[in-house]
Amino acid sequence: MAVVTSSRRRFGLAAMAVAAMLLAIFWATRGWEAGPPIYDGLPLQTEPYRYLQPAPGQATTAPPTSGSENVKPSNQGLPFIANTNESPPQAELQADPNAIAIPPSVPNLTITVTPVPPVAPIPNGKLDGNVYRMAITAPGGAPIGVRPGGHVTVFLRGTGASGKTVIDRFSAGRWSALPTVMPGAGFHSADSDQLADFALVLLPDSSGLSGGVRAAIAVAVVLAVIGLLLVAVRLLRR
Amino acid sequence: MLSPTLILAHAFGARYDLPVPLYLFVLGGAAVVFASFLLVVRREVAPADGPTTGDGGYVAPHRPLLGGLGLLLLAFLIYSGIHGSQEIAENILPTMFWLIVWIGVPISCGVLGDWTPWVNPFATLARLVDRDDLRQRLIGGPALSWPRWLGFWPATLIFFLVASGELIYNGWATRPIVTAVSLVVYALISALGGLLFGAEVWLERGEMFSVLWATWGRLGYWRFGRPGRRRFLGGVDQPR
Amino acid sequence: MSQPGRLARGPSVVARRRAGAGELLVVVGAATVLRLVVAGAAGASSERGAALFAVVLLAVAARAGWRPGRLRPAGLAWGLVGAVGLVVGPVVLHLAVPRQQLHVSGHGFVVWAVVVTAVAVAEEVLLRGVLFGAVEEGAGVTAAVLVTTVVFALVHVPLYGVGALPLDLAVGLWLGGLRVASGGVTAPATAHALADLAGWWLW
Repeated sequence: MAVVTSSRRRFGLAAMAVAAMLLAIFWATRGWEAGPPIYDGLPLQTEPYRYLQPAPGQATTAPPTSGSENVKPSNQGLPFIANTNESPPQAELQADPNAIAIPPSVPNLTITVTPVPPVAPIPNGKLDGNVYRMAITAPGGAPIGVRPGGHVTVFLRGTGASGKTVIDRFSAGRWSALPTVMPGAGFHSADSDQLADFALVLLPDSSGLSGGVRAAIAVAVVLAVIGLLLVAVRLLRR
Repeated sequence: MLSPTLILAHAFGARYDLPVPLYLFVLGGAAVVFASFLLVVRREVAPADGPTTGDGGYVAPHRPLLGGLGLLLLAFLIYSGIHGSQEIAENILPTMFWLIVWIGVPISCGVLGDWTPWVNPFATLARLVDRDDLRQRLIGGPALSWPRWLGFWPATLIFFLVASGELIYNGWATRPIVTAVSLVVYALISALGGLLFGAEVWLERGEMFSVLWATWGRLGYWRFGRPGRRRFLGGVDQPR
Repeated sequence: MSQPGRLARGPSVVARRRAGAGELLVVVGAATVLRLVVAGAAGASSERGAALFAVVLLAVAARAGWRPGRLRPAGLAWGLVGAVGLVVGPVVLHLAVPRQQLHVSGHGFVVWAVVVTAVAVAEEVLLRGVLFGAVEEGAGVTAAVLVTTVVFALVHVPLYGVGALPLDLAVGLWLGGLRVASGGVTAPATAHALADLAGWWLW
């Protein structure tokens, strides 16, 4: 061991103390989301999508998981959240307690997110992953709905397939598309005024062109503009 | 609209309810912008009839190995963006560009100084086409002079467009293929700038990343060959 | 005070270094990209990508003048203390918060453990050995700790996402402090490797 002066050792220990404080705060507030200490070589990347009904030729994965949470009706003012247990979750439901029509006598609620087979063919595209049934129930199993004017937010992780996607909802005996955004990390989300079955749907490519072809066209256009510009400069110089 | 509990990405479209009233949010934002102007209000600028260069990027000597590495990385990212998964989380390009290049690199320059001129692929491209024989063939003469009225406006405009992509149109701009094609287009623009005006002027005035990172680099510790003292903020009072 | 080529002696690395801090940063970035390219869809869990990453880092460290030396018990002891600090939080969480564990199969543990150890040691040798020495020589020990901490955290972002950044900054600072307090890279390398290995049981 090399000679370490006392001032250097004090400095090193002080840095370790600050780091220990930061780590303690991080572990206390983030819990398991913090993961193991440094992560190297651990399978922390997005795990492959788990299909309820893998298509022929698709890699076999572990079965998809369900999510379930028991909450008090007030939930201390925090949103109701339930998600499946993949890493990261394949489906998640979030709801403001005020948006749910909770009967006054109900002491607690169960929020469930469950993969189910599609109850009917999806008309507007190809299913991208699993259909998830999202429900909130009272202790006896009685379903609880969304208050008029309220909404819940549904998050579905995509399989990584290329193309435009939208979240469909199955209600009143048919699938219909919901306005969908992509908040990042492979998730798609949509607000819904009903609890129902939800599916991420890969829409048919309306242009018929692959991403590579469209990229090539865009670059070709820019090249053409640059070419015209060079010609213009040359002509103006004469 | 809520946000999923596990998402930590920056400006990738997650929406949040404001924790304060809107008017406070707007006033706070305006105050921050105003305060940022106070930082530069007393800064001397070059007189109108002064030299056209001297306040922009630093045209570092070309290092083919590092420049080649930068170009290879750019090519790999573009390839990933076009041919990889179009899920933002599963494609390396959005993370590399919108988090590392767009946010991480400026911050690193603000701490370390501008270490980027040798690896900036857009600068390398501009240098590669900065050849008199090529100019003679393509535009029939020497490099164009940089019009005074143009100032730093090309870099400013491009910065504005990229910032809009990050903050306003992020649902579209962060899609891997859109980011990839934008990088190709910008690479072509940078090459055109180097060809028309010469690499030195283009990198000082027009190439957005060179100007942006050099500006951040004024705050950083090392000067990497530029004038100024080796200390934090050592480049703030320097002409370039 | 320093003898070239001792793993436990950071300053000795500086004496023989042939690379500047800037070049080292570029090479670390390039090695990270190479790891990502080789890993492909497997990402962080690619043993092939991780092994190549470790080899590149060690090669660069060797090129910069680092040579392995004799391990000192004091360095190992500091490393054990450092490892305890890094795993205490996850151990408490593991005992206190039941959760579904994703890591179930013992198959391939040996290869995994070798690769994880190699990556941890390689990162420490290059970051808190060679780079630390280069920065310290130019800008002092505080800058060396800060720079290596930030670089350590950034290297992990492409693999584990920006969510890992705060944690890795804290871990980097811990390892940097360990490097200064112990006087060499043996301690952070030991702590880093043990903490990573503990992840097999904790995650």
